[in-house]
Amino acid sequence: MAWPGFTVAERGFLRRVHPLVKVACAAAVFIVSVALHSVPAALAYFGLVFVVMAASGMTRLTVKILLMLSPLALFIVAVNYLIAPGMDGSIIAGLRILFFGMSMALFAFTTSPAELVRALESARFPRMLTLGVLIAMRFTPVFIEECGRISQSVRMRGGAFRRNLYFYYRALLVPLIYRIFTVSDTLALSLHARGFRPDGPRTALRHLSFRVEDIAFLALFLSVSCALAVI
Amino acid sequence: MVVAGPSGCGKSTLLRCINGIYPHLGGGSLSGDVLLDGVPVTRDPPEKRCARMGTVFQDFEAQIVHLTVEDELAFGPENMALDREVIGQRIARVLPVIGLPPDADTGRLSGGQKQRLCVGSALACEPDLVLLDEPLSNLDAESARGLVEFLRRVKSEGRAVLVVEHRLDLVSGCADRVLWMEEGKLSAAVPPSTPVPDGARRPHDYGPRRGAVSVKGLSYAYREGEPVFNGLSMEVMQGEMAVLLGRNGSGKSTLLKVLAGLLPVQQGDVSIMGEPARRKPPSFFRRNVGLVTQNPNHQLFMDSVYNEVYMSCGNPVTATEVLEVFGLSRIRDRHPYSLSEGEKRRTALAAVVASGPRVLLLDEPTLGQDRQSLIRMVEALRRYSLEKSLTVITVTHEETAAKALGERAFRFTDGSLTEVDVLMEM
Repeated sequence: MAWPGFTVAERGFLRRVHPLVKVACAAAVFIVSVALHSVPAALAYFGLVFVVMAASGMTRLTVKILLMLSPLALFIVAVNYLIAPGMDGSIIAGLRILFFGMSMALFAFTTSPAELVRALESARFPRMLTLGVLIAMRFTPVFIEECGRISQSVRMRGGAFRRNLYFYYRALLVPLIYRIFTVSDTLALSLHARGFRPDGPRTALRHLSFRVEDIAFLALFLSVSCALAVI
Repeated sequence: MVVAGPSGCGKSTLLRCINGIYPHLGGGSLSGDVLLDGVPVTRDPPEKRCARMGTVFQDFEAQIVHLTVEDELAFGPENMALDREVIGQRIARVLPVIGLPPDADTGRLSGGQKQRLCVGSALACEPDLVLLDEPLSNLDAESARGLVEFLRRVKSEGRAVLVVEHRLDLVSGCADRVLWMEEGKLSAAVPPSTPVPDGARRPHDYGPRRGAVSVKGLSYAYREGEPVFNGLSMEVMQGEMAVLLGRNGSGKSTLLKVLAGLLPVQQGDVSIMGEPARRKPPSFFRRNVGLVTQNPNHQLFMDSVYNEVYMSCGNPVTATEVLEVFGLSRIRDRHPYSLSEGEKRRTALAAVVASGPRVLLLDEPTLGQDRQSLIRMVEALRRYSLEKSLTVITVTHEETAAKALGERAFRFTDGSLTEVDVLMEM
């Protein structure tokens, strides 16, 4: 699930963990960071999550994300300090921003979209939901690219319509909406032509099942998280 | 079998009737029967029909659902509820035919690879009949030849292949039968194609001219990437028609974007109508350069063909004249999105020409165009080139278009540009 400028990690133990376990861990990090109320516990938890990421070969990526989020975290610390004086609460509020970044990275940079969809299908999520997730992930970059192309095309159309905002936005939106409809139409026909029925019988080439290691990792991670949350 | 015919004659509709999509999903009324091995195609539900008949639609980008090649190939057989082992065997049979790695990211495949994947995805259902709607329309000559060879192999496996295609020169060699469709009727007699006059043989009677586009030592690299091209030089004179040739990804469209001011001049010099283009404001490019992009749908947004052209020039007399020259007067009140691809392309072109550029850049103007549309377009461009000294630079893969629009030709090879004889090249 690469973001611009980042790629899914190729190696590391997190890469092998079941995607739904990683979703649970990421959610745990986020929830625990909200529940934390002492600075030592927050720092310990921060260290734990960082070590997990580093152990999976994501030290540089994690540092990069933390550096990107640091200005926002410092801003939150400052605002929090001004609103409710007290250093502990401000530090924890700032750390929450960093926790949020790490929780996203823990899942997003160790899971390919194909694995996520496979995991959802294996967990018997409704077919329309998994197909929807799949199509959203497949076509979001396509439409971003399409927006860029349309914007460039409009710039080169020539004429006086740019001075009129109505026509300018019309020039951007009409081709985009048309493209969305034509893609949806072709996609629906393509699904139909390949025998797709949301309620029909179906098999899967690959199943992602939970392994003992996945359960062990989840149990360990959740128990440490809960322990630090109640300190 | 190949079904050919002019744009809008009903070829794609025929294909959709054959595979049972019309009238069930597309509406309308259908009379008569479509039989496959003597059995009506609509008798089976879709998950069984795809085992008898595979369809590949024109817009290959829009029919790929999955994120990896293997998952995409498995999609049809999974819907047919086949055993995992059988799905694996089918994928193993299709992969060598399409020549793609199973774990390749579908979003990063080239146009030709995506086209092969779509065909492979239909083949994984092991149908008796494969239907393809203009499979060559977005491919360069080499990729098109590769796909034709691929279809030949599919045919040799004992499957029937029905192709709807404009580019008869490429597909007719491997077809057992060619049918011609016109005004909704099929016939076995293919009319002889109207010759498109060669641009290189156009009389050079302009007298002294000045340079319109001058490129010296131009290099361009996208962020964090290898240079797309290095040290390019070329000069195109006012009123000349030049073509840029080369394989997909060789840098032709990037050069057009630099000339249009959509990308900056990183290294080297570019002059448009004698003025250096480096750091010029967008208004300079809008005044001098018009670009017609590959997809005409990106440039059309008004509610009628006339308004599209009028919006560009703001003058009803000029708009009417441009419509006349491009052969669009008959359809001036039609909505642009209701037109055939060839008509849409001519409308986008007319709208850009009406804005009065001095240099016109065309990116693959012949995609999806039948011969008649191409001839009309070429005639209009020649008229503007001769009468208004419009300089036309065209990127194309098609032989006919290159000959028609190429008074001069430049070929991209390994990031460099050399002038070639267009007739010799083709």
